[in-house]
Amino acid sequence: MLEARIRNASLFSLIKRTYSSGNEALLEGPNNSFLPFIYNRNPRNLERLRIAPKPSGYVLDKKPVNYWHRLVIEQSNKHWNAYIEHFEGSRVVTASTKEWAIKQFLRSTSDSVAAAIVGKVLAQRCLEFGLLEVNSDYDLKQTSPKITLVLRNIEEGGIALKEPEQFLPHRHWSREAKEDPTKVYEETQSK
Amino acid sequence: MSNLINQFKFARNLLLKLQPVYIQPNRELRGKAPDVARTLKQRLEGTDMFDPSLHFKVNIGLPHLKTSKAEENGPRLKMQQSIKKSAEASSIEEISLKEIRKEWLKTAAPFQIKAIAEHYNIFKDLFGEAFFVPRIPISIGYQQTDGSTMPVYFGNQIKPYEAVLPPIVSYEADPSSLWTLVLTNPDGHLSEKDAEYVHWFIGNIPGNNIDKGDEVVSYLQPFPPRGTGSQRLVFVLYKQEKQIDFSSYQRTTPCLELTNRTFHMKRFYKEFQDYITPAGLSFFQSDWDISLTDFFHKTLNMKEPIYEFDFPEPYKKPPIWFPKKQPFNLYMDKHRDQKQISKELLLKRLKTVDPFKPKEPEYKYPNALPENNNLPSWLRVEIRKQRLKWGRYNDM
Repeated sequence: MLEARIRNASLFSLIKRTYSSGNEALLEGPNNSFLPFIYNRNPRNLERLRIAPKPSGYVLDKKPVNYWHRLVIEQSNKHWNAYIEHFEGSRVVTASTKEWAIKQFLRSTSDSVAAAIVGKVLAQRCLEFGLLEVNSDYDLKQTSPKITLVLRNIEEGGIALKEPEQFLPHRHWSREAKEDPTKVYEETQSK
Repeated sequence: MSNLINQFKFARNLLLKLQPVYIQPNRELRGKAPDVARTLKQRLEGTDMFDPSLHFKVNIGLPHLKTSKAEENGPRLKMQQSIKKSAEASSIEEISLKEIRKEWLKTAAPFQIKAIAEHYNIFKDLFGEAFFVPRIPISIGYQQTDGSTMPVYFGNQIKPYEAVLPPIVSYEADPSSLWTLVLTNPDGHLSEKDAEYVHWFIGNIPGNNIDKGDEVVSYLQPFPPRGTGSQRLVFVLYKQEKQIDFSSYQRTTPCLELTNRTFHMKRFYKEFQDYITPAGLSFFQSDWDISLTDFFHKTLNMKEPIYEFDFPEPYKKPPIWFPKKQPFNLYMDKHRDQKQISKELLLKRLKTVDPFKPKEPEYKYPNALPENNNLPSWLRVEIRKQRLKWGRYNDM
């Protein structure tokens, strides 16, 4: 068996490579020259697998910073603005009533209809951009009715307002073994 | 000067050996001698600090053709006034997300797509220090067997079995213009570092008629190997200035030898940069599914590689001969070969399992069983852990 590595943008670690069962003659084809490791440069891959390092933040932080992607809703006197932020600082997805695409259908850009539309559009864009789970600090019991409307519309659009925890590998001294996310696959069958 | 200091150090060390004296660590002369060591200024010059004259991004895309404010705002104002005059406000159900998206593609989309592409690190991996704003929206969809289409947006997940056949691509273009479409995977190269696999390459497309273009490299479905996670597959649409000869990139159809599909987007762009301009961008992510086993065996004629993520080893304090107040069994196990321990446990487990006998029922409260009080306490604790399947007994 060969030793192999997988290179990711944020983490470097060894991986082992094995072969699936199949005809032995297949090993002699032209496609069987491998590097002993594979490079996956996709920076979102480890976050999807939930093994990327996640910042834990500090106890005295005004807002907790323990997320990969976070939902922020801003309300001003005139407008609604909702966006998804990455912990490294970039604004990834935005939906705002200042955009002409949304504004053109609205009678008022600050009422409940505007709030609902901003939630719906943000959810649609998140789905298109491949972000299915975001962290949200909003407590549905304590937020105002309009912000609740934004949150509900985002959830109805198919976005989970909770991020999974970072997976830490099982060590023999930890009591329970969690399921390894790198070995979980959807049970979809082709044909 | 430096020689003098070194001589001084040497002499002092000799003295210390003869008569050990405690010297405060902060009183020690640290680092190299002042005339040898570099100054802070010299050090900063050597490091790769951010230098705006060197480290800037180059826009290689199409220019932004701005319409005048008056031209843009005139119809917008009229539209808003008519909405405000209307008796009733429109409800949420009446506003269609499709129409918002349609308008979004014309107005804010190029900048937001650029932002998400930067988040997925696409420009850096494909073009290095260059970027572009995707001015031309492309709509790409994979036809499914049940008649539906799987659209490609900007990072959505598409399984390999959904992308077996080449997709249907459309964009708005003047019929006399020429275009190039490339589909490339920067994450999945099996035999080369920092290389890409080109999955589809069509050059000299007249207008938006993909079928009439020259198929330089034929379509190959995504094949992310098991255990490597999600890989990006990026469609880049280039606008051509003139007819281009892509014969150096031409491959025979079907091109199933993977080394022939090795591609470098940056080198390709450098070669033709005088005649092509990136105009459109769209990408999806793909990870392993069960249909790929057959694809590797039958189409690519190779054994399917399976990768496994191996997490970094945890830190262990170096072992010592006489550890005080340490549980001896756990301390010894910690520094043994973990594979050997798992092997012993597996053999132990296999001894208890018989495929021809029915499985023994598990107790609801396994630790309520009587214990052998003659055993030492550490062994009894291990037995309790084993009964509860804790720690390394998880699989037993």
